[in-house]
Amino acid sequence: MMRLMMRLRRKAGISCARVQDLVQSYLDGELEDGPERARLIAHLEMCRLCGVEAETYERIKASLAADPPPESVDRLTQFAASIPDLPDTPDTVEGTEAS
Amino acid sequence: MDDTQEALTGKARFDHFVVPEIDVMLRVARSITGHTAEAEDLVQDSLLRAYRSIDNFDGKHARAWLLTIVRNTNINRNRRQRPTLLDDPGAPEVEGRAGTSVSTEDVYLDGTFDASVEASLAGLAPDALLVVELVDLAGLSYAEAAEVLGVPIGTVMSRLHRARRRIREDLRHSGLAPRRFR
Repeated sequence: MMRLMMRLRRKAGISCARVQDLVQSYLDGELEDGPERARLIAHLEMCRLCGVEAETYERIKASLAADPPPESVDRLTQFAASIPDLPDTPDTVEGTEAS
Repeated sequence: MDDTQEALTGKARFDHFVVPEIDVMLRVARSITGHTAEAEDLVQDSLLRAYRSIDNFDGKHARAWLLTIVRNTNINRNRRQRPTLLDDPGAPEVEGRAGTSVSTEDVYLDGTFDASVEASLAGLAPDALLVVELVDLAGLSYAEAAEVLGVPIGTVMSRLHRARRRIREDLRHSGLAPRRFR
């Protein structure tokens, strides 16, 4: 019932169902400029349910892309600088082939 | 790769292609291990491997190449050090919060949301996890990820979107995201 309602519900000239199909690409910056993108943006401002959905995906993306602690990056950068001075390790290197 | 990059060798090549990607390597390592300290060890080992093989690297898609090294290094480390990870009493648990009155904003700010997203990654299928790592953690575009994986862009999109929906569902079951309406 809810699914049918979403399929039928339209705001700003685009249905909630269509917004759900496009919203992740939009948040990834992969949705081309054009009328549909403009309608999607307007829809997200007008529709609370779709707005919350978009916000959740935005938070998931932000969480995944969260910067690691700067002190960890600093330690690893210092380690990287010291590698040429480390004693030799075996020549065979596993795990460097392309996937 | 331009002529200048091609002329680089050894340490200079490592500094050019690898060192700027340390934060991305750490982000991916953290998603694999779930612990920052363990992730640092993994990146350290991965840097050694990258340094040893830098002159064989073709200069294309450094992030994807390094991500492969991090993943393979982790597999080798687990083979060597930890024959079984089942029933690890030290493993962190993410408690379900369904039914509590804590707002999404609160759990986002206190780190619970991040911990749950990280826990959810572990449940993704390997091909879905790889796309999430390439796009969300390493910052590749859909087209770049498709080229790296040798699959159509549509496949990248469907795997990525499905993976995020799965994460979203896991968050919902933990009471950290609103009910999905579709």
